[in-house]
Amino acid sequence: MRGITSRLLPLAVRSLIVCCAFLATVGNADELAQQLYAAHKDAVYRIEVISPGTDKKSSLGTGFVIAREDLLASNFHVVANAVHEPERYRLEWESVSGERGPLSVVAVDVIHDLALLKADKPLGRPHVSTTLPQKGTALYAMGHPLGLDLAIVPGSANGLLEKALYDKIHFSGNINPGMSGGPALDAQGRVVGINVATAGEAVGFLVPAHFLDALVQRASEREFAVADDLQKRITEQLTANQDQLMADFFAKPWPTQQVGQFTVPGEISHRLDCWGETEPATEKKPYLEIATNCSGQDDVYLSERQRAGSVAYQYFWLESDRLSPRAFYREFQQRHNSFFQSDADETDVGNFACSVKFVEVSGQSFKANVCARPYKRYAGLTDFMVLMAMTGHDRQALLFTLDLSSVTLDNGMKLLQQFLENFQWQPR
Amino acid sequence: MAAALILEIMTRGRGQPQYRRVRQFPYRIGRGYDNDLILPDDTVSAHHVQLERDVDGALRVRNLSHENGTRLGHRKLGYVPELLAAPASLQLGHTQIRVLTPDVAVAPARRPQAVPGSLALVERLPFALALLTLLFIMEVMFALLHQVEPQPLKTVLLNKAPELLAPLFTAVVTGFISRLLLHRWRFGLQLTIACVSFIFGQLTIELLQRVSYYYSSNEIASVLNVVLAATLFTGLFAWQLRAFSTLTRKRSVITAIAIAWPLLALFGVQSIVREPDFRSQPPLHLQLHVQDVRQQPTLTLDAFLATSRSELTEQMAAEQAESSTN
Repeated sequence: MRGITSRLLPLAVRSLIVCCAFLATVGNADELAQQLYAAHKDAVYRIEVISPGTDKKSSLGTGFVIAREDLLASNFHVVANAVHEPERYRLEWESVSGERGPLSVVAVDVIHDLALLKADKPLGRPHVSTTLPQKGTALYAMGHPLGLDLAIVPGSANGLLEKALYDKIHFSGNINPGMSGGPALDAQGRVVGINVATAGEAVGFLVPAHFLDALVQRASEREFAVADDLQKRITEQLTANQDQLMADFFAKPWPTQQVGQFTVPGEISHRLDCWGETEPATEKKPYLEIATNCSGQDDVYLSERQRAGSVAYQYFWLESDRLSPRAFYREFQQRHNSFFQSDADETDVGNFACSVKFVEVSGQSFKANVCARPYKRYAGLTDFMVLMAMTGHDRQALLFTLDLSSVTLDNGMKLLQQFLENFQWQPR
Repeated sequence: MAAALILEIMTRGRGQPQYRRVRQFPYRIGRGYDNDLILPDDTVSAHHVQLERDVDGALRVRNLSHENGTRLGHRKLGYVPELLAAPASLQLGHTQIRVLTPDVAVAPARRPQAVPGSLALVERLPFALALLTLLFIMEVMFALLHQVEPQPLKTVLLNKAPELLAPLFTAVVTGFISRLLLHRWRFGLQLTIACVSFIFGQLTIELLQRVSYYYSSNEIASVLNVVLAATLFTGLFAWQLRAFSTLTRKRSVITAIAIAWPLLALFGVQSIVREPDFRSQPPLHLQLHVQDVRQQPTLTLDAFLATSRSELTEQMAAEQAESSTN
């Protein structure tokens, strides 16, 4: 049983109005859900990833018939193991009535976590898709929550997420692991989105259906032939995606923010989420700390261990007028560290290479650790990280970190350059 | 005739030798109770060997048994009695007998303290206590320099006082070893050695931090770390060895190297062997120092970006080449 648990922070806002609106139409909704379930139960399937050694499922999700009678749509993360290690895993569908059959992968869209699978026989009437309805529209998500029997879960569409690098529909309803890849239907039975992730109670996320349409369109150009070059296509998608992200970042001039005596780039894209915290100096802790960080709230699922397309940067200012320089530098050095958030192992990536240099930025000298490690399956892409510390001041310090996953070294350096060119020291 | 021979009897595992004067001949040695010299060594025969004097005064040694045999010097004694010229050594089973004459010169008496006169000061307890005070002052000074939350001097002194126990305890332990080996505590010398170890340890750490920042390189710092640690450890170990024995300076240094360096080499080999092929985190250089003294120049932004990029490209290509050959 699987399904990604999104790294999104819990969105605390709960709408009572939606809840009351439901109560008013409860009779209606009941009937509708029953009708939808009856109409769609024969076109929604459990998808199992079978490990041949044991002949048992190693993970599962949901899929639904789309475009053609023998095609199923699902999430990439449901079938990822079978894509990465086709010799170790195979895919099977299982109907509500218990029938089974093999599946093969036709196309994937890793960025939006979609996969198109082909069965060896017709599996039912294809679903049709539709555009995102208004906020509050009732939706019905279908799938196998926790691998249980097929279920239909009512909820409502709440528009696109504002703070997300990759478009997702905010679905207010319970999506559980195992429902991944199932359809979220409107009252007419059209697919609005594909269940993909959850962020706690009644906060779920859907992939907008138009990404699935685009994937179907691309696959149709190859007449839905089973793909044998999926890794190459994933490389292309990741490369195009990071180029697109960079283009987005560079599209507009960056707002600035003040961190201690430095003016630095603030929210470089409205898709990033920024947080900040200032702790003034006190009697017990005679130094001022300012920390701000901005990061993409979502990323691209590559495998259980590896995520791509994450972006994060942070600034940390430390200042004291009472500490001795030695004591100050002790505190400074304790905070001078950075960890790259990833569980990737040696089959996914190489070792980090690092370059330690000193650089002058806006008249101040910085010690800079710039590191990168290559992806093994996706040539040209790297994990990129930067840790910079201001040097040469007795009682003022600035730390800057930048972490990017799955970017080309060129793009990483370009973004770093853009950041550093926008650093501005403000003399007092 | 006056006593002509002295036997120095050394049984394996018995520590100090025993001495016998040989007053008449023939003189029979063995495990049996009817011998002139009875050896409690179960590798020695009941009647093992006999010392004889010819009519013309020449000494001979005669093998009485061939169970375990006898060695005269480095040769095995046969059936024919052999001439014995003192000093000579006889090996009977596990027992070693040196045959000496009373006029064999002995080595001049050694000073029990193996320290040249000019350094005799280090053995004095007041000097050791002065060092201990210096160590304490150093600790307190570092604590004051590094304190984040300002504390009154009295609190700092009280907090640091327990750290005095470390060198004192070390000196008690080494002193006890000295008591076992030399029958003397020599607490002054032991405390001096302990204090010097702690002071040099502190200074080495400080030096290493600065050097690591200076070179901005984990590799150079770790090489220097090993070299300094080896030197310091060998020096202190040699000194400690000398304090425990009557070894000369050269012998003690050689012994210290012979014991310490293979161990250090073993640690080195282990760290290479246990070095993982894959690290999930980058090898960042995290040292920062208030005195910004360093080898590397401060680059302009463009130069920095260019060199960083080329270094990373080069390193990643090198690793890729390495992993593809494996």
